Amino acid sequence: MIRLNLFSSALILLLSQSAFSASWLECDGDSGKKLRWGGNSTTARINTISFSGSNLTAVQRGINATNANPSPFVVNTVTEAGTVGRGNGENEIYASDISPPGVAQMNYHCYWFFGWHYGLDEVDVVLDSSRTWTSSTAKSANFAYTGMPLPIDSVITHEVGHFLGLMHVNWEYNVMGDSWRHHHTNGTTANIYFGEDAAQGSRVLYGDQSGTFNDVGVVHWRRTGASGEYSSHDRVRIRNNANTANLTAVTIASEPGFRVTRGTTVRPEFTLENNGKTSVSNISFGMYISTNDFISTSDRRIGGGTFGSLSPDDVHTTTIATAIPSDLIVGQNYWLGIIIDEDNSISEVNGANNMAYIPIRIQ
Amino acid sequence: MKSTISFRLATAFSMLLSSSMLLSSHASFAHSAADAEEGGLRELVGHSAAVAYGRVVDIQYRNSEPTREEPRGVPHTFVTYEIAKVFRGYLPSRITLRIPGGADGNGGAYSVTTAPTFARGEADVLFIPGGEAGDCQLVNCVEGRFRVVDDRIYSGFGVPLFAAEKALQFGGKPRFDLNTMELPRAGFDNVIKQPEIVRWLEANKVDANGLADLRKKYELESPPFYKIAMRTDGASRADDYTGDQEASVMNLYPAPMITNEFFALIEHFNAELGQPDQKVIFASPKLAFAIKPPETSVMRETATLSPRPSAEEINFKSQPEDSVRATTGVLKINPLTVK
Repeated sequence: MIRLNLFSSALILLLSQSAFSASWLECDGDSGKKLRWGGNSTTARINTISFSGSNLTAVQRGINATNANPSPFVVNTVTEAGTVGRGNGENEIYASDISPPGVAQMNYHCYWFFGWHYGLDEVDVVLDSSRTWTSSTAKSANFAYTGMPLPIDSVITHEVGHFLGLMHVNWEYNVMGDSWRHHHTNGTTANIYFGEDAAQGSRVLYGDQSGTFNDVGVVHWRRTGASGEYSSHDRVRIRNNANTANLTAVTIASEPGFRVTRGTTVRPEFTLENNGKTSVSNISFGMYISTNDFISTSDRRIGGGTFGSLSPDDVHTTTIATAIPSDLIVGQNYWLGIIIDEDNSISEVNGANNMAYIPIRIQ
Repeated sequence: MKSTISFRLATAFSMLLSSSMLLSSHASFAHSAADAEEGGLRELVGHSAAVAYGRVVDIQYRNSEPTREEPRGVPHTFVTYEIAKVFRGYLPSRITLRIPGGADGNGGAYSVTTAPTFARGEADVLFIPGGEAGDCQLVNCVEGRFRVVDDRIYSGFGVPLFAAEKALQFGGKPRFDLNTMELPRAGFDNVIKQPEIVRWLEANKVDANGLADLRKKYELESPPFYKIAMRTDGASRADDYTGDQEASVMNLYPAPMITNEFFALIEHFNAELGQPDQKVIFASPKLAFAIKPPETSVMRETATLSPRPSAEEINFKSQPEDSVRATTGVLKINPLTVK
C-alpha cells in the first residue's frame, strides 16, 4: 500500500540535496569551450578482424544504447577489416591484448589563433581480447547476474560515451561509472542502457533533440559508493518499514534477495530515472508480486501510487512502502516488482524499461 | 614536434618539504603482510622499483617515431619532477617519466582514459616500475600516481584515498580540478597547419606579408600556456519528488588520508619488502622513441546457453512495444553499413 504524504514530501523536497551530474573536458578551463564534436554525428569503424557474428551485433547493440539519448548526437557505424592506429582521423573500435577491460583514446584540439578553437577529433575504443566475454543479453550469461563472462555491450556503451566527450563519473549511479552493473533487467534478459546521468551529459554537450523524447525507467541497481573514478553499483535492498535496517538477505535463484514477513509493510528500494529531456510529473506506478522473475501487469498488484516528478538530471534511488499480503505462502520464493508509468500516460521511446524486481522469500 | 614547459622549483617548496614532509612518522602497524590485500598499497610498493614524492617542474611533449599505421606518431608526455623524498629505490633529485598522451605541438592533444595528465606545480607520490620506460612509466599508469593536495592524498584522477593499510580505498567527493593537462601554445608554423586555420588563411587571401604580421601578433597575443580540464555540471536543475526521501547512502567516506600517514605506510611496506631488484631507466625527451602500433586481435566469446523464458515473458515480449507503451521519440538506431 502506497500512501503519499504531501506534507512530508514537501519537507523532503526542501531537504534534498543537489547532486553532481556528468563530466566532460573543457578547453582553457572555460565552460563555454566544452570538448565535443563540431556537428551532431560521427562515424565509428568497427574492426571485423576483432568483431564478427554475434560479437559484432553486441558492439552495435552497445552503440545503439548510447545513441538512445535525448541529444541530437548520433554515432553512425561502418565495418572495416584494415589496420588501426591512433591519430589517423578515424574512430576505430577493435580488440587487442591490453590490461584494462576497455579503454578510450581521445584526440582533440584546443588552441588559440585570434580566438579559441576546440573540439573532439577522434576517439578509438579498445577492448581487452584476453578476457572472457559474452555477446549475449541473457542474465544467465552475465557475470553481474548468474553468469561468468563480461558482456561486450556493457563496456561498449561506456566507452562510446567517451565518443560523445563524456568522462568518468563516480558520484552518481551512471554508465560512465560501473557499466557492468547498469542494466534494465526483467525476466531472462539484462539490457545495458545509457541512463539519466549520461543522457543529461549528452544534452549539456549537444543540446536537446528537436523531437519529443520521453523515457522513464526503473532498475534494481543503485550506487553504493565509488571505486576510484568509477561509481560502484550493487543491487537495491529491502528495508524495514521504519527504514532503519535491511531485511535479512537470502540468495534466491542465484540472485540476491530478502526474507520478507507476510502481512507486514516493508520498503523495497528502486532506482528511478528520467532519461528524457524534460521533467515528467505524476508518474503512476504499481507494486506487484510475481511467481517468477518477469514483472508484468498480469502479475498480482499489491499497491501503487503516483510519483510527484522526476527531473532529467539526477538519478533517484528511493524506498517505497509496500504492504506484503498475508496470504502468500511461507517458505516460497516470489519476486517483488514495480511497474512505472503503469497507466501508459507518458509517451515514451522505450516502454520495456519500466519494470524491475527484487527476489523475496516469504516467512 | 617539440613543445616545452619550463619551470623552476620555488625555494619555498624545498623548505616546506624539509620542514614538514620529512617528518613522516615511522609508527608501527598492527597489521602484517598477510593482512595486505591484493591490489593494495603493499602490492603497489612491491611492483615499484622506486617510490618517491615530488613536484612537477617541467613538462615536455614529444611524438613517438612515425609508423605506417601512425604516420604522425603518438603524443607522449615527458614530465619532470623535483624529488623531495625517496621511499624506495634510488633516484636522482630530478627524474623524467614518459606517459602516454599529451600535446601534439599543433594545437591538438591526445589522452587515454587510463593515463594521467599533468600541470606544473602538482605534488605527487609516484610508484615507478623498473627497467626501461614501457607504455606508461607508472605502475598501472594512472593508478601509480597519488595526488597530494592540502596535506591530503587523492588518486591520480582526484578521488580521495581514505584507507590504505589493507586495500586501497577511494571514495568521497572527487577533486575535478586536479584533472588538468597544461599545454604550451603551439608554434605559429604548426598552428597554421590546422585545417580550420588553413581554410581561414585561404578565405582571407593572406599573403606572405600578412602572414608575417599575423606571426608577430600571434606571438604577442596568444597565451603561452593554457589548460584542458575536466569539469562537471555541478548540480541538478530540479530535485526529484517521489513522495519518499532519497534512499539512504550506503557507503560513507571519512576524510582523505593525511600525507604523513600515507608516507608512513609506504615506508612500512618498503621495509617489509626489502630493496627492489630492478632500477629505473629514465626516458629522455631528447631521444627519439618508438611505440608499437596497436594490433587487432580476435574477440572470442564464451558459449552460453540461452535461458528459457517464462510463458508470461514470451507473451509480453511478443507484443508490439507500441501496444504496451506509445513510442514517439527519435531513437537513433542506424543500420550497420558494411564496406
